[in-house]
Amino acid sequence: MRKYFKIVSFLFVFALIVSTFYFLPPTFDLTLFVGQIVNLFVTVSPGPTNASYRFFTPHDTLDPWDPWPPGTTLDLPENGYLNPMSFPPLPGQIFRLRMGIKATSDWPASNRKLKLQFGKLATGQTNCSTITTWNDLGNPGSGADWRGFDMPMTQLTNGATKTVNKLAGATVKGSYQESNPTPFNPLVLKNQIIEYDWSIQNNITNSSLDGGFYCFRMVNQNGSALNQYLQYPKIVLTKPFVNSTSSTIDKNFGGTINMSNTNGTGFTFVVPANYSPYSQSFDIHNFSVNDFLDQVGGQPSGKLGAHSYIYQMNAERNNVATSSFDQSLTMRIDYSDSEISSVDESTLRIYKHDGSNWNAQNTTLDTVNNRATVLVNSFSSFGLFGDAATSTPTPTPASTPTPAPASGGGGGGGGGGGSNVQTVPPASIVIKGKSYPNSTISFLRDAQLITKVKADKLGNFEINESNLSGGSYNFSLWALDELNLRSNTYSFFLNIIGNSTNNVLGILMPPTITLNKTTINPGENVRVYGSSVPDSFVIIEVRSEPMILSTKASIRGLYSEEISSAKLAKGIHTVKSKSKIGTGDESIFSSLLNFGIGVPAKKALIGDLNKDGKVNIIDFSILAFWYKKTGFPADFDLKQDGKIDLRDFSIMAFSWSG
Amino acid sequence: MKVQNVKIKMKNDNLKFKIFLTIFLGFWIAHATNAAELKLKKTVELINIGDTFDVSLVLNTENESINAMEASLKYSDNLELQNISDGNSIINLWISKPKLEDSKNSIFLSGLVPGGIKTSEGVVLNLIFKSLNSGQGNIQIENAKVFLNDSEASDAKVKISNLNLEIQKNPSVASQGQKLVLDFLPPDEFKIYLSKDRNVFDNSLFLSFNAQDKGSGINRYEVREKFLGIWGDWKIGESPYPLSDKLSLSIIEVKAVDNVGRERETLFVPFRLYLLYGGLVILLIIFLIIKIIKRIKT
Repeated sequence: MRKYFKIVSFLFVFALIVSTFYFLPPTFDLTLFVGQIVNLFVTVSPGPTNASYRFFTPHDTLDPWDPWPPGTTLDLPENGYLNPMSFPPLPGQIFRLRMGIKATSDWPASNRKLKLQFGKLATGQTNCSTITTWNDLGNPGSGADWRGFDMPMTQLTNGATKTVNKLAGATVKGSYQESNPTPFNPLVLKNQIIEYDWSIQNNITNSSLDGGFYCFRMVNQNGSALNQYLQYPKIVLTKPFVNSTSSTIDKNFGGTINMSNTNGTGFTFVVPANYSPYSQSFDIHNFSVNDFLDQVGGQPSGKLGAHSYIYQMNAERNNVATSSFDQSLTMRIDYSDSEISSVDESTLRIYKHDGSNWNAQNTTLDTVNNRATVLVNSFSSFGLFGDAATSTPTPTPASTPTPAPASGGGGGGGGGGGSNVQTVPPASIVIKGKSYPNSTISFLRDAQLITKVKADKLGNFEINESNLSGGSYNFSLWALDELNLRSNTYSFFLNIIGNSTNNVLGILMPPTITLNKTTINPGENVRVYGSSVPDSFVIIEVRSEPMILSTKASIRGLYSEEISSAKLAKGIHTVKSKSKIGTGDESIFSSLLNFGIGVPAKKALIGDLNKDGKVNIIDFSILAFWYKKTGFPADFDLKQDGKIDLRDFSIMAFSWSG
Repeated sequence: MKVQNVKIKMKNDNLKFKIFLTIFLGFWIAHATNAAELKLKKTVELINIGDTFDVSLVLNTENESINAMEASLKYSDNLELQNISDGNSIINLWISKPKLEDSKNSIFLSGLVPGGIKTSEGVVLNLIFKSLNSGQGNIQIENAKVFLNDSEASDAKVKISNLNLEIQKNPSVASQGQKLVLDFLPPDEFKIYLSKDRNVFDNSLFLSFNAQDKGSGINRYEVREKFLGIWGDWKIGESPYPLSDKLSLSIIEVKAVDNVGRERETLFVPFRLYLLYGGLVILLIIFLIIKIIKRIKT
């Protein structure tokens, strides 16, 4: 009996321990946790930092003007890496890579030479710092996977000093490079960024394309790493293409390119005469539709693949990519009956992938000859898709990561579902600005409090947020000063592209404001005070009779000014303030306060319905509960107009703290 | 000669006055027309019978900060609404999520942008319509209200731009630029708040939450109360959500599901549950230690 009791006790304790671990947040990351502990004891020594980068299409000038990819409307942003959705360079293709290196101490002129290296990530890894074997960029014509490319133009000489910097914050012009190493550096002062420009060719054979990740970095000439890598340029390659063809088409006569597929289908590309001022070389590659869709995340929502291939095209002249043409070019896909056995043929459209979405093109269908034709004037990847045939089950030839169709959508491929999340890299944002010394800045994304950061003694603050999917975001900031006063909310709207780093600099927080009393007798003074950016001018605006006062904030960021009631009539008056700094930049206004001369001030109305000191989603929920209902508590009627409607929500939104 | 000079001077004065008046009126008109604009935009030029096409409701705040808006959209009988998407909308909190009203051909929406927004082309909503019959069609904005981001919820002047369509007779084999959005990512991470208030749900516990999905938009929320972390079923719900477990001894899970079925889950473990299980573990450990000590002694 006693033995059984022990076994049962042991099992119970074991179950409880296991269940306790079960309650740990599901996102608990042991590596991150250990890393954070290690970071507490490790300080990063100062030194050059690989700070930023951007991919450009090859150009015939020292200063590339068209961000990668070539010939599409998509422009990859700074620090945006190349993945299969952004048309990574195929074997033989060339690109330009701008790299920004930040000096963390002064580099005298001729202090160092640098070189470029590349490395391949192990399968399953996405973090470039895990690479243990780095290879030098190969010389032009060498057998290295990634090698320099000698552009046959006199203005593009290896080692030539650049004329324009392209990266944010870069102030020192480095050199244009077709091979390692760079020349000696010019003078670079501490915290300045020197920018280099690399001309690189993909020398990996088609059969070796495995969708692998390659990273790039700059190092010292002796191969020693820079002290910190904030950014690694990264390229995620495609899977091998099935077939390719290349033709130069005379500008005066035009021409036709045909590509026959092994399943009897084909692709035809008709280029009219005078399509361009110069004759261009056209490269066409076709990929297996399944491989391609696996990489870009799926076919158009609710559509099925109707052709076994995706066609990707480029045009170039002297290795310089062409973005558009003087005349439309005709593209034709010949499909087979077996390819469309599950598809309603009348719904077939050629779709163009623009780097993030599939866009239906104005397609002419010839259902007798099984042909779909479109006119194009810029290049990208093209495929054929249609709706599922109504009477047929849906065996789809398309890829596994098919998003389920939106409600009401017909058909829809297999796969899909919640767990089928693509590894589309997230975007991040860096926000820097000035507030009041030691103030606490709350950062909100789409009305949700994300983090709080502390400003330093000079009022400078910095906020970083990552893991943003692409889209339109409404960001808001508000500050709490040392007097425990809350600032007005500073908001901005940003359209963020997936897989990008966005810098928002120079934010000036509005001053806080309060009054020593809200009701005074005629002849008395009222003192307005609060916090502002240290040493800034504070402009105080009084109404109803317009009165502008100004004062200067102290080094601690405090300001104070007396308002004399002598020039103001009896009644209610309002006051607000704003900051102006040495550069001439002004903040938005502070909150609007009111005070009464000889009459009581109006009660300030905010939306903190549950009286927890915050105006957030809980207050919104409470107000939503009473929306368009009667019998609500009187103080929930923020507008005091006898009803709970949009206007009350608007007042709440004005005071939102998150 | 002198008279002539006076005339010329008068003429010049008259001209100056006209220039001044023109400039003044120009400024006045420019200022007067400085109202927020709600407009409907389509993405295709020509619409044929049977075409599906996108229409966006777009807000131009004309440099004003706006934090709340509501409107009804009404469309003609020769159009069929196929989809409403608030993915990537500038609206962060919906008071009334846009949906087809009981009365046919009408969509009502009402929402907030806490902190306010200034935008020249902020997309509020994307709609997909199908054209049913040829002839004139239209989509109209009615009862629009837009409020400034201030302490009084002041009215913003609103300029309305409706959409008139000419649907062509010939059925087209081509879809004219129909844009199909792919959504590879689940909704963004979000938080849930557990609270109670004497003025809501009879002072019972309730949840507040709000998720964003920049791709296809949020389709629904599902909530599960796992009593003692063990039992519980998913139920469709929305914020504010009253909890059925009045003891607060359940792990609460909220799932936001977007319009392509991708999910984001957030979990909340009440402190009481930590106490309960933690306490039990400690008691058992003490019990076992006592047992072991007793055994060693014997």
